[in-house]
Amino acid sequence: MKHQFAYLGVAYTAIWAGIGGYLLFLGRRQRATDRRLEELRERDQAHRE
Amino acid sequence: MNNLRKMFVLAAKDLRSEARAKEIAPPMVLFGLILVFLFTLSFPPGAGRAPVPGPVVGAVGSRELAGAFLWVSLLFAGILGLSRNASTEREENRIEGLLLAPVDPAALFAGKALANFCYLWALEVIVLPVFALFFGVSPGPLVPGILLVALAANVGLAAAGTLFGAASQYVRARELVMPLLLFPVIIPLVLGAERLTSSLLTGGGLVSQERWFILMGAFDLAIVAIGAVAFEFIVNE
Amino acid sequence: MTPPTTARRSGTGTILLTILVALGMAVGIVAIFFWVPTANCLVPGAAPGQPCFDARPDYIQHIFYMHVPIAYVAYLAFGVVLVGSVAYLKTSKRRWDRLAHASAEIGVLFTGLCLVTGMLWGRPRWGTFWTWDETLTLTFVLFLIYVGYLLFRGMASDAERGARVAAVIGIVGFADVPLVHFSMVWWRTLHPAEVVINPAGPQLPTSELVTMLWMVAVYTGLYILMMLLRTRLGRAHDALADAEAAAEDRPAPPGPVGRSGAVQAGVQP
Repeated sequence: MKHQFAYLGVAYTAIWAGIGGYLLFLGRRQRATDRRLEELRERDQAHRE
Repeated sequence: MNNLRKMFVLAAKDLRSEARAKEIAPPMVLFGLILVFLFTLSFPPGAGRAPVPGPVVGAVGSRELAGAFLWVSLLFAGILGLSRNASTEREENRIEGLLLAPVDPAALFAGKALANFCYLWALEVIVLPVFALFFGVSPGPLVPGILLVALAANVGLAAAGTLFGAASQYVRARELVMPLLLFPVIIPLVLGAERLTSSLLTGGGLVSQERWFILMGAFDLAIVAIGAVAFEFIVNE
Repeated sequence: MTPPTTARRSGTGTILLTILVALGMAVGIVAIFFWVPTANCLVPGAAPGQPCFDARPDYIQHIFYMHVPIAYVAYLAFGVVLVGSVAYLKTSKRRWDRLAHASAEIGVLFTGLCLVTGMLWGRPRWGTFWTWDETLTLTFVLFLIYVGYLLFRGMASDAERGARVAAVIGIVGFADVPLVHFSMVWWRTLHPAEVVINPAGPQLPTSELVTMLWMVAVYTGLYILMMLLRTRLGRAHDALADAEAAAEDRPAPPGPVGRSGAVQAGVQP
Protein backbone atom coordinates (compact mmCIF):
# COMPACT_ATOMS: atom_id res chain seq x y z
CA MET A 1 0.00 0.00 0.00
CA LYS A 2 2.84 2.36 0.78
CA HIS A 3 4.29 1.82 -2.65
CA GLN A 4 1.09 3.30 -4.08
CA PHE A 5 2.10 6.57 -2.49
CA ALA A 6 5.47 6.27 -4.15
CA TYR A 7 3.82 6.04 -7.57
CA LEU A 8 1.50 8.89 -6.64
CA GLY A 9 4.40 11.01 -5.51
CA VAL A 10 6.46 10.35 -8.60
CA ALA A 11 3.48 11.12 -10.84
CA TYR A 12 2.69 14.46 -9.21
CA THR A 13 6.36 15.36 -9.09
CA ALA A 14 6.74 14.52 -12.76
CA ILE A 15 3.83 16.80 -13.61
CA TRP A 16 5.20 19.77 -11.68
CA ALA A 17 8.73 19.12 -12.86
CA GLY A 18 7.57 18.93 -16.46
CA ILE A 19 5.42 22.02 -16.40
CA GLY A 20 7.68 24.01 -14.11
CA GLY A 21 10.77 23.03 -16.03
CA TYR A 22 9.18 24.08 -19.29
CA LEU A 23 8.13 27.45 -17.86
CA LEU A 24 11.64 28.05 -16.53
CA PHE A 25 13.06 27.07 -19.91
CA LEU A 26 10.69 29.53 -21.60
CA GLY A 27 11.73 32.23 -19.16
CA ARG A 28 15.38 31.68 -19.90
CA ARG A 29 14.92 31.80 -23.65
CA GLN A 30 12.74 34.89 -23.35
CA ARG A 31 15.40 36.70 -21.36
CA ALA A 32 18.12 35.69 -23.82
CA THR A 33 16.06 36.88 -26.78
CA ASP A 34 15.10 40.13 -25.08
CA ARG A 35 18.71 40.74 -24.15
CA ARG A 36 19.81 40.22 -27.71
CA LEU A 37 17.10 42.55 -28.97
CA GLU A 38 18.29 45.19 -26.49
CA GLU A 39 21.83 44.80 -27.77
CA LEU A 40 20.68 45.35 -31.31
CA ARG A 41 18.69 48.40 -30.32
CA GLU A 42 21.67 49.90 -28.54
CA ARG A 43 23.89 49.20 -31.52
CA ASP A 44 21.27 50.81 -33.68
CA GLN A 45 21.18 53.92 -31.45
CA ALA A 46 24.97 54.08 -31.41
CA HIS A 47 24.99 53.76 -35.18
CA ARG A 48 22.64 56.67 -35.60
CA GLU A 49 24.65 58.98 -33.37
CA MET B 1 -8.72 18.48 -70.51
CA ASN B 2 -10.53 18.04 -67.26
CA ASN B 3 -8.73 17.24 -64.04
CA LEU B 4 -9.44 13.53 -64.03
CA ARG B 5 -7.88 13.14 -67.43
CA LYS B 6 -4.89 15.24 -66.36
CA MET B 7 -4.40 12.94 -63.38
CA PHE B 8 -4.16 9.90 -65.65
CA VAL B 9 -1.87 11.69 -68.08
CA LEU B 10 0.48 12.73 -65.28
CA ALA B 11 0.53 9.26 -63.77
CA ALA B 12 1.18 7.70 -67.17
CA LYS B 13 4.06 10.12 -67.69
CA ASP B 14 5.60 9.07 -64.38
CA LEU B 15 5.16 5.39 -65.06
CA ARG B 16 6.52 5.62 -68.59
CA SER B 17 9.66 7.39 -67.43
CA GLU B 18 10.09 4.77 -64.73
CA ALA B 19 9.68 1.99 -67.29
CA ARG B 20 12.67 3.49 -69.05
CA ALA B 21 14.83 4.32 -66.04
CA LYS B 22 13.87 1.42 -63.75
CA GLU B 23 15.21 3.15 -60.65
CA ILE B 24 12.17 2.97 -58.40
CA ALA B 25 10.31 -0.30 -58.72
CA PRO B 26 13.13 -2.86 -58.96
CA PRO B 27 15.01 -1.78 -55.78
CA MET B 28 11.69 -1.48 -53.98
CA VAL B 29 10.53 -4.97 -54.89
CA LEU B 30 13.92 -6.47 -54.15
CA PHE B 31 13.99 -4.84 -50.73
CA GLY B 32 10.49 -6.12 -50.01
CA LEU B 33 11.51 -9.66 -50.90
CA ILE B 34 14.62 -9.42 -48.74
CA LEU B 35 12.58 -8.28 -45.76
CA VAL B 36 9.99 -11.04 -46.14
CA PHE B 37 12.81 -13.52 -46.45
CA LEU B 38 14.50 -12.19 -43.31
CA PHE B 39 11.30 -12.43 -41.32
CA THR B 40 10.61 -15.95 -42.49
CA LEU B 41 14.12 -17.01 -41.54
CA SER B 42 13.87 -15.45 -38.12
CA PHE B 43 10.37 -16.62 -37.33
CA PRO B 44 9.65 -19.82 -39.24
CA PRO B 45 5.93 -20.38 -39.80
CA GLY B 46 5.89 -23.54 -37.71
CA ALA B 47 7.16 -21.77 -34.58
CA GLY B 48 4.57 -21.29 -31.87
CA ARG B 49 1.27 -23.03 -32.16
CA ALA B 50 0.45 -24.84 -35.37
CA PRO B 51 -1.98 -22.90 -37.48
CA VAL B 52 -5.53 -24.04 -36.88
CA PRO B 53 -8.54 -22.96 -38.87
CA GLY B 54 -10.89 -20.78 -36.90
CA PRO B 55 -10.07 -18.34 -34.11
CA VAL B 56 -6.85 -19.27 -32.37
CA VAL B 57 -7.08 -19.40 -28.62
CA GLY B 58 -3.98 -19.31 -26.48
CA ALA B 59 -0.36 -18.63 -27.31
CA VAL B 60 0.49 -16.51 -30.29
CA GLY B 61 1.71 -18.54 -33.23
CA SER B 62 3.58 -16.95 -36.05
CA ARG B 63 0.34 -16.90 -38.04
CA GLU B 64 -0.76 -13.98 -35.92
CA LEU B 65 2.59 -12.33 -36.39
CA ALA B 66 2.57 -13.01 -40.11
CA GLY B 67 0.31 -10.04 -40.74
CA ALA B 68 2.79 -7.80 -38.98
CA PHE B 69 5.78 -9.25 -40.85
CA LEU B 70 4.11 -8.79 -44.19
CA TRP B 71 3.10 -5.19 -43.63
CA VAL B 72 6.35 -4.10 -42.04
CA SER B 73 8.16 -5.47 -45.07
CA LEU B 74 5.73 -3.82 -47.49
CA LEU B 75 5.89 -0.56 -45.56
CA PHE B 76 9.66 -0.25 -45.53
CA ALA B 77 9.98 -1.31 -49.14
CA GLY B 78 7.13 0.98 -50.10
CA ILE B 79 8.71 3.98 -48.39
CA LEU B 80 11.87 3.34 -50.32
CA GLY B 81 9.96 3.57 -53.57
CA LEU B 82 7.91 6.59 -52.53
CA SER B 83 11.00 8.40 -51.39
CA ARG B 84 12.86 7.65 -54.62
CA ASN B 85 9.90 8.84 -56.65
CA ALA B 86 9.76 12.12 -54.77
CA SER B 87 13.46 12.82 -55.13
CA THR B 88 13.64 12.10 -58.85
CA GLU B 89 10.93 14.69 -59.27
CA ARG B 90 13.03 17.24 -57.50
CA GLU B 91 16.32 16.23 -59.08
CA GLU B 92 15.01 16.75 -62.55
CA ASN B 93 13.19 19.91 -61.55
CA ARG B 94 10.06 18.56 -63.07
CA ILE B 95 7.80 20.10 -60.49
CA GLU B 96 8.67 23.64 -61.53
CA GLY B 97 7.95 22.79 -65.14
CA LEU B 98 4.63 21.27 -64.26
CA LEU B 99 3.65 24.22 -62.11
CA LEU B 100 4.20 26.61 -65.00
CA ALA B 101 1.79 24.60 -67.09
CA PRO B 102 -1.89 25.29 -66.33
CA VAL B 103 -2.35 22.28 -64.08
CA ASP B 104 -4.43 22.32 -60.94
CA PRO B 105 -2.14 21.34 -58.03
CA ALA B 106 -4.77 18.88 -56.87
CA ALA B 107 -4.48 17.09 -60.21
CA LEU B 108 -0.71 17.18 -59.85
CA PHE B 109 -1.05 15.55 -56.47
CA ALA B 110 -3.54 12.99 -57.72
CA GLY B 111 -1.36 12.09 -60.70
CA LYS B 112 1.69 11.58 -58.53
CA ALA B 113 -0.29 9.64 -55.95
CA LEU B 114 -1.75 7.44 -58.66
CA ALA B 115 1.73 6.62 -59.92
CA ASN B 116 2.80 5.80 -56.35
CA PHE B 117 -0.33 3.70 -55.97
CA CYS B 118 0.76 1.68 -59.01
CA TYR B 119 4.26 1.22 -57.62
CA LEU B 120 2.81 -0.14 -54.39
CA TRP B 121 0.66 -2.61 -56.29
CA ALA B 122 3.68 -3.70 -58.31
CA LEU B 123 5.45 -4.34 -55.01
CA GLU B 124 2.56 -6.34 -53.59
CA VAL B 125 1.89 -8.37 -56.72
CA ILE B 126 5.37 -9.85 -56.34
CA VAL B 127 5.81 -9.92 -52.58
CA LEU B 128 2.40 -11.37 -51.66
CA PRO B 129 2.75 -14.66 -53.57
CA VAL B 130 6.31 -15.05 -52.27
CA PHE B 131 5.05 -14.42 -48.76
CA ALA B 132 2.30 -17.02 -49.22
CA LEU B 133 4.93 -19.48 -50.43
CA PHE B 134 7.29 -18.86 -47.49
CA PHE B 135 4.52 -19.04 -44.91
CA GLY B 136 2.95 -22.12 -46.39
CA VAL B 137 -0.38 -20.40 -46.83
CA SER B 138 -2.61 -21.54 -49.65
CA PRO B 139 -3.47 -18.22 -51.23
CA GLY B 140 -6.64 -19.18 -53.09
CA PRO B 141 -9.42 -18.39 -50.61
CA LEU B 142 -7.50 -15.49 -49.10
CA VAL B 143 -6.91 -13.57 -52.31
CA PRO B 144 -10.07 -11.41 -52.35
CA GLY B 145 -9.60 -10.47 -48.71
CA ILE B 146 -5.95 -9.62 -49.06
CA LEU B 147 -6.63 -7.58 -52.18
CA LEU B 148 -9.21 -5.55 -50.32
CA VAL B 149 -6.83 -4.92 -47.44
CA ALA B 150 -4.06 -3.98 -49.83
CA LEU B 151 -6.40 -1.63 -51.66
CA ALA B 152 -7.35 0.14 -48.46
CA ALA B 153 -3.71 0.39 -47.40
CA ASN B 154 -2.32 1.45 -50.78
CA VAL B 155 -4.65 4.40 -51.23
CA GLY B 156 -3.62 5.90 -47.92
CA LEU B 157 0.06 5.02 -48.27
CA ALA B 158 0.27 6.46 -51.76
CA ALA B 159 -1.46 9.69 -50.78
CA ALA B 160 0.49 10.18 -47.55
CA GLY B 161 3.71 9.16 -49.29
CA THR B 162 3.18 11.68 -52.06
CA LEU B 163 2.42 14.44 -49.60
CA PHE B 164 5.30 13.79 -47.24
CA GLY B 165 7.64 12.86 -50.05
CA ALA B 166 7.20 16.30 -51.51
CA ALA B 167 7.38 17.86 -48.06
CA SER B 168 10.73 16.32 -47.25
CA GLN B 169 12.41 17.45 -50.45
CA TYR B 170 13.04 20.93 -49.09
CA VAL B 171 14.77 19.96 -45.91
CA ARG B 172 18.24 18.89 -44.93
CA ALA B 173 18.63 15.12 -44.41
CA ARG B 174 15.65 14.37 -46.61
CA GLU B 175 16.01 10.57 -46.60
CA LEU B 176 15.65 10.61 -42.84
CA VAL B 177 12.90 13.16 -42.63
CA MET B 178 10.42 11.39 -44.86
CA PRO B 179 10.13 8.20 -42.79
CA LEU B 180 10.28 10.27 -39.61
CA LEU B 181 7.20 12.20 -40.66
CA LEU B 182 5.39 9.49 -42.55
CA PHE B 183 5.56 6.53 -40.17
CA PRO B 184 3.66 7.93 -37.22
CA VAL B 185 0.93 9.36 -39.41
CA ILE B 186 0.21 6.10 -41.21
CA ILE B 187 0.33 3.87 -38.16
CA PRO B 188 -3.48 3.58 -38.01
CA LEU B 189 -3.36 2.33 -41.60
CA VAL B 190 -0.54 -0.13 -40.97
CA LEU B 191 -2.11 -1.37 -37.73
CA GLY B 192 -5.38 -1.93 -39.52
CA ALA B 193 -3.72 -3.78 -42.38
CA GLU B 194 -1.79 -5.98 -39.95
CA ARG B 195 -4.85 -6.83 -37.84
CA LEU B 196 -6.96 -7.57 -40.89
CA THR B 197 -4.27 -9.72 -42.49
CA SER B 198 -3.68 -11.68 -39.29
CA SER B 199 -7.38 -12.15 -38.95
CA LEU B 200 -7.52 -13.50 -42.50
CA LEU B 201 -4.58 -15.83 -41.94
CA THR B 202 -5.98 -17.30 -38.74
CA GLY B 203 -9.34 -17.85 -40.31
CA GLY B 204 -11.14 -15.01 -38.58
CA GLY B 205 -12.07 -13.33 -41.82
CA LEU B 206 -12.60 -9.65 -42.46
CA VAL B 207 -16.10 -9.12 -41.13
CA SER B 208 -15.09 -9.61 -37.51
CA GLN B 209 -12.66 -6.74 -37.80
CA GLU B 210 -14.86 -4.39 -39.78
CA ARG B 211 -14.03 -1.53 -37.41
CA TRP B 212 -10.52 -1.49 -38.81
CA PHE B 213 -11.82 -1.42 -42.35
CA ILE B 214 -14.00 1.57 -41.57
CA LEU B 215 -11.08 3.25 -39.90
CA MET B 216 -8.78 2.64 -42.85
CA GLY B 217 -11.42 3.85 -45.28
CA ALA B 218 -12.02 7.02 -43.29
CA PHE B 219 -8.30 7.60 -43.01
CA ASP B 220 -7.86 7.15 -46.77
CA LEU B 221 -10.59 9.66 -47.53
CA ALA B 222 -9.13 12.15 -45.12
CA ILE B 223 -5.56 11.85 -46.36
CA VAL B 224 -6.52 12.08 -50.03
CA ALA B 225 -8.64 15.16 -49.36
CA ILE B 226 -5.98 16.84 -47.25
CA GLY B 227 -3.26 15.94 -49.73
CA ALA B 228 -5.16 17.33 -52.68
CA VAL B 229 -5.66 20.63 -50.90
CA ALA B 230 -2.33 20.94 -49.14
CA PHE B 231 -0.03 19.83 -51.97
CA GLU B 232 0.07 23.22 -53.60
CA PHE B 233 1.26 24.86 -50.40
CA ILE B 234 4.19 22.54 -50.30
CA VAL B 235 5.39 22.78 -53.86
CA ASN B 236 4.66 26.41 -54.59
CA GLU B 237 7.41 28.99 -54.13
CA MET C 1 14.88 50.26 -38.43
CA THR C 2 14.95 50.16 -34.66
CA PRO C 3 14.00 46.72 -33.39
CA PRO C 4 10.85 46.85 -31.32
CA THR C 5 11.02 46.16 -27.61
CA THR C 6 8.98 43.21 -26.51
CA ALA C 7 7.26 43.84 -23.21
CA ARG C 8 9.53 43.01 -20.31
CA ARG C 9 6.83 42.71 -17.73
CA SER C 10 3.86 40.41 -17.92
CA GLY C 11 0.56 42.19 -18.19
CA THR C 12 -1.85 42.21 -15.27
CA GLY C 13 -3.95 39.68 -17.15
CA THR C 14 -1.14 37.17 -17.12
CA ILE C 15 -0.46 37.66 -13.43
CA LEU C 16 -4.14 37.34 -12.60
CA LEU C 17 -4.38 34.16 -14.63
CA THR C 18 -1.34 32.73 -12.87
CA ILE C 19 -2.93 33.38 -9.49
CA LEU C 20 -6.24 31.87 -10.60
CA VAL C 21 -4.56 28.75 -11.96
CA ALA C 22 -2.47 28.30 -8.84
CA LEU C 23 -5.51 28.71 -6.59
CA GLY C 24 -7.58 26.44 -8.75
CA MET C 25 -4.91 23.79 -8.66
CA ALA C 26 -4.70 24.02 -4.86
CA VAL C 27 -8.47 23.73 -4.48
CA GLY C 28 -8.48 20.83 -6.90
CA ILE C 29 -5.82 18.95 -5.00
CA VAL C 30 -7.73 19.40 -1.77
CA ALA C 31 -10.84 18.06 -3.48
CA ILE C 32 -8.95 15.10 -4.93
CA PHE C 33 -7.41 14.05 -1.65
CA PHE C 34 -10.12 14.98 0.83
CA TRP C 35 -13.45 15.28 -0.90
CA VAL C 36 -13.61 12.43 -3.38
CA PRO C 37 -14.09 9.17 -1.46
CA THR C 38 -11.19 6.75 -1.77
CA ALA C 39 -12.29 3.55 -3.45
CA ASN C 40 -11.52 0.24 -1.81
CA CYS C 41 -10.75 -1.60 -4.98
CA LEU C 42 -7.29 -1.33 -6.48
CA VAL C 43 -7.95 -3.46 -9.56
CA PRO C 44 -11.61 -3.36 -10.61
CA GLY C 45 -13.33 -6.30 -12.17
CA ALA C 46 -13.55 -6.64 -15.94
CA ALA C 47 -16.92 -4.91 -16.14
CA PRO C 48 -18.98 -2.73 -13.79
CA GLY C 49 -20.72 -4.94 -11.26
CA GLN C 50 -18.08 -7.66 -11.50
CA PRO C 51 -16.18 -8.51 -8.34
CA CYS C 52 -13.03 -6.57 -7.57
CA PHE C 53 -9.77 -8.32 -8.49
CA ASP C 54 -7.77 -6.69 -5.73
CA ALA C 55 -9.76 -5.27 -2.83
CA ARG C 56 -7.24 -2.84 -1.36
CA PRO C 57 -7.61 0.92 -0.90
CA ASP C 58 -6.98 2.66 -4.15
CA TYR C 59 -4.78 5.70 -3.62
CA ILE C 60 -3.34 5.83 -7.09
CA GLN C 61 -6.75 6.83 -8.40
CA HIS C 62 -5.66 10.35 -7.53
CA ILE C 63 -3.39 10.26 -10.58
CA PHE C 64 -6.51 9.86 -12.70
CA TYR C 65 -7.60 13.42 -11.85
CA MET C 66 -4.41 14.77 -13.37
CA HIS C 67 -3.98 12.30 -16.21
CA VAL C 68 -7.37 12.95 -17.80
CA PRO C 69 -7.26 16.78 -17.82
CA ILE C 70 -3.70 16.61 -19.14
CA ALA C 71 -4.91 14.39 -21.97
CA TYR C 72 -7.81 16.71 -22.80
CA VAL C 73 -5.51 19.72 -22.84
CA ALA C 74 -3.22 17.85 -25.21
CA TYR C 75 -6.21 17.31 -27.53
CA LEU C 76 -7.02 21.00 -27.23
CA ALA C 77 -3.43 22.00 -27.93
CA PHE C 78 -3.30 19.92 -31.10
CA GLY C 79 -6.68 21.30 -32.12
CA VAL C 80 -5.21 24.77 -31.84
CA VAL C 81 -2.27 23.60 -33.96
CA LEU C 82 -4.82 22.54 -36.58
CA VAL C 83 -6.57 25.89 -36.49
CA GLY C 84 -3.31 27.84 -36.62
CA SER C 85 -1.95 25.71 -39.45
CA VAL C 86 -5.05 26.08 -41.59
CA ALA C 87 -5.19 29.80 -40.92
CA TYR C 88 -1.51 30.18 -41.77
CA LEU C 89 -1.91 28.36 -45.07
CA LYS C 90 -4.84 30.56 -45.95
CA THR C 91 -3.52 33.94 -44.83
CA SER C 92 0.28 33.53 -44.73
CA LYS C 93 0.27 35.67 -41.59
CA ARG C 94 3.08 34.68 -39.28
CA ARG C 95 1.04 35.06 -36.11
CA TRP C 96 -0.91 31.91 -37.03
CA ASP C 97 2.30 30.03 -37.58
CA ARG C 98 3.55 31.19 -34.18
CA LEU C 99 0.29 30.05 -32.62
CA ALA C 100 0.61 26.62 -34.18
CA HIS C 101 4.24 26.23 -33.20
CA ALA C 102 3.62 27.29 -29.60
CA SER C 103 0.64 25.02 -29.21
CA ALA C 104 2.53 22.08 -30.71
CA GLU C 105 5.31 22.46 -28.14
CA ILE C 106 2.86 22.56 -25.27
CA GLY C 107 0.88 19.68 -26.78
CA VAL C 108 3.98 17.52 -26.96
CA LEU C 109 4.78 18.32 -23.32
CA PHE C 110 1.27 17.41 -22.21
CA THR C 111 1.18 14.24 -24.30
CA GLY C 112 4.46 13.21 -22.72
CA LEU C 113 3.06 13.91 -19.26
CA CYS C 114 -0.07 11.98 -20.16
CA LEU C 115 2.03 8.97 -21.10
CA VAL C 116 4.15 9.20 -17.95
CA THR C 117 1.22 9.62 -15.56
CA GLY C 118 -0.59 6.84 -17.36
CA MET C 119 2.36 4.50 -16.92
CA LEU C 120 2.62 5.33 -13.23
CA TRP C 121 -1.09 4.72 -12.77
CA GLY C 122 -1.02 1.52 -14.77
CA ARG C 123 1.89 -0.20 -13.06
CA PRO C 124 0.36 -0.67 -9.58
CA ARG C 125 -3.03 -1.32 -11.10
CA TRP C 126 -2.32 -3.69 -13.95
CA GLY C 127 1.18 -4.83 -13.08
CA THR C 128 2.73 -3.39 -16.22
CA PHE C 129 4.03 -0.01 -17.29
CA TRP C 130 3.02 -0.46 -20.87
CA THR C 131 1.05 -2.56 -23.31
CA TRP C 132 0.52 -2.19 -27.01
CA ASP C 133 -3.22 -1.83 -26.92
CA GLU C 134 -4.96 0.56 -29.31
CA THR C 135 -5.17 3.52 -26.94
CA LEU C 136 -1.59 3.51 -25.73
CA THR C 137 -0.22 2.81 -29.20
CA LEU C 138 -2.18 5.63 -30.83
CA THR C 139 -1.23 8.03 -28.04
CA PHE C 140 2.41 7.19 -28.49
CA VAL C 141 1.97 7.71 -32.23
CA LEU C 142 0.43 11.12 -31.50
CA PHE C 143 3.52 11.96 -29.49
CA LEU C 144 5.78 10.85 -32.34
CA ILE C 145 3.84 12.85 -34.93
CA TYR C 146 4.20 16.14 -33.14
CA VAL C 147 7.75 15.52 -32.01
CA GLY C 148 8.36 15.02 -35.73
CA TYR C 149 6.61 18.34 -36.35
CA LEU C 150 8.95 20.12 -33.92
CA LEU C 151 12.06 18.38 -35.25
CA PHE C 152 11.06 19.21 -38.78
CA ARG C 153 10.72 22.87 -37.93
CA GLY C 154 14.21 22.81 -36.53
CA MET C 155 15.60 21.24 -39.69
CA ALA C 156 13.85 23.24 -42.39
CA SER C 157 16.38 25.20 -44.38
CA ASP C 158 13.87 27.56 -45.98
CA ALA C 159 11.88 29.24 -43.22
CA GLU C 160 8.84 30.15 -45.27
CA ARG C 161 8.42 26.82 -46.99
CA GLY C 162 9.36 24.99 -43.79
CA ALA C 163 6.53 26.73 -42.01
CA ARG C 164 4.09 25.77 -44.73
CA VAL C 165 5.14 22.13 -44.74
CA ALA C 166 4.96 22.12 -40.95
CA ALA C 167 1.41 23.43 -41.22
CA VAL C 168 0.50 20.47 -43.41
CA ILE C 169 2.03 18.09 -40.88
CA GLY C 170 0.08 19.81 -38.13
CA ILE C 171 -3.14 19.35 -40.04
CA VAL C 172 -2.60 15.72 -41.01
CA GLY C 173 -1.39 14.78 -37.55
CA PHE C 174 -4.58 15.93 -35.91
CA ALA C 175 -6.37 12.95 -37.48
CA ASP C 176 -4.87 10.86 -34.70
CA VAL C 177 -6.60 12.79 -31.91
CA PRO C 178 -10.15 11.52 -32.46
CA LEU C 179 -8.66 8.06 -33.01
CA VAL C 180 -6.98 8.18 -29.60
CA HIS C 181 -10.16 9.28 -27.92
CA PHE C 182 -12.53 6.86 -29.58
CA SER C 183 -10.16 3.93 -29.19
CA MET C 184 -11.22 4.10 -25.54
CA VAL C 185 -14.84 3.74 -26.56
CA TRP C 186 -14.67 1.35 -29.52
CA TRP C 187 -12.24 -1.30 -28.36
CA ARG C 188 -11.85 -3.36 -25.19
CA THR C 189 -8.37 -2.34 -24.13
CA LEU C 190 -6.22 -2.57 -21.03
CA HIS C 191 -6.62 1.20 -20.81
CA PRO C 192 -9.87 1.96 -19.00
CA ALA C 193 -12.85 2.99 -21.08
CA GLU C 194 -13.46 6.69 -21.44
CA VAL C 195 -15.73 7.85 -18.63
CA VAL C 196 -16.17 11.56 -19.21
CA ILE C 197 -16.54 12.37 -22.90
CA ASN C 198 -18.48 9.26 -23.70
CA PRO C 199 -21.26 8.96 -26.28
CA ALA C 200 -23.42 7.45 -23.57
CA GLY C 201 -22.81 10.41 -21.28
CA PRO C 202 -20.42 10.79 -18.34
CA GLN C 203 -20.10 7.62 -16.33
CA LEU C 204 -18.73 9.06 -13.11
CA PRO C 205 -20.51 9.70 -9.79
CA THR C 206 -21.08 13.33 -8.88
CA SER C 207 -18.19 14.25 -6.62
CA GLU C 208 -15.74 12.61 -8.97
CA LEU C 209 -17.24 14.21 -12.04
CA VAL C 210 -17.23 17.66 -10.46
CA THR C 211 -13.62 17.30 -9.36
CA MET C 212 -12.64 16.08 -12.79
CA LEU C 213 -14.37 18.97 -14.54
CA TRP C 214 -12.76 21.40 -12.10
CA MET C 215 -9.31 20.02 -12.90
CA VAL C 216 -10.07 20.22 -16.62
CA ALA C 217 -10.89 23.91 -16.15
CA VAL C 218 -7.72 24.48 -14.12
CA TYR C 219 -5.54 22.78 -16.72
CA THR C 220 -7.21 24.70 -19.51
CA GLY C 221 -6.32 27.89 -17.66
CA LEU C 222 -2.78 26.62 -17.35
CA TYR C 223 -2.70 25.93 -21.08
CA ILE C 224 -3.85 29.47 -21.86
CA LEU C 225 -1.19 30.83 -19.55
CA MET C 226 1.53 28.75 -21.17
CA MET C 227 0.32 29.80 -24.61
CA LEU C 228 0.49 33.47 -23.64
CA LEU C 229 4.08 33.03 -22.54
CA ARG C 230 5.13 30.89 -25.47
CA THR C 231 3.60 33.12 -28.13
CA ARG C 232 5.30 36.07 -26.52
CA LEU C 233 8.57 34.22 -26.96
CA GLY C 234 7.65 33.48 -30.57
CA ARG C 235 7.02 37.15 -31.26
CA ALA C 236 10.35 38.03 -29.68
CA HIS C 237 12.13 35.42 -31.84
CA ASP C 238 10.55 36.73 -35.00
CA ALA C 239 11.36 40.30 -34.02
CA LEU C 240 14.95 39.25 -33.36
CA ALA C 241 15.24 37.41 -36.68
CA ASP C 242 13.89 40.45 -38.52
CA ALA C 243 16.16 42.80 -36.63
CA GLU C 244 19.23 40.70 -37.34
CA ALA C 245 18.34 40.45 -41.01
CA ALA C 246 17.99 44.24 -41.10
CA ALA C 247 21.24 44.71 -39.18
CA GLU C 248 23.15 42.65 -41.72
CA ASP C 249 22.14 45.08 -44.44
CA ARG C 250 23.69 47.98 -42.62
CA PRO C 251 27.43 48.70 -42.61
CA ALA C 252 29.19 47.80 -39.37
CA PRO C 253 29.33 50.67 -36.86
CA PRO C 254 32.75 52.16 -36.04
CA GLY C 255 34.55 51.08 -32.90
CA PRO C 256 35.52 47.81 -31.28
CA VAL C 257 32.23 46.06 -31.67
CA GLY C 258 32.32 42.32 -32.14
CA ARG C 259 29.37 40.15 -33.07
CA SER C 260 28.65 38.27 -29.90
CA GLY C 261 28.27 34.52 -29.99
CA ALA C 262 24.72 34.97 -28.82
CA VAL C 263 23.60 35.41 -32.41
CA GLN C 264 23.36 31.69 -33.14
CA ALA C 265 22.00 30.76 -29.75
CA GLY C 266 19.27 33.33 -29.80
CA VAL C 267 17.72 32.48 -33.12
CA GLN C 268 16.76 28.89 -32.51
CA PRO C 269 12.94 29.02 -32.39
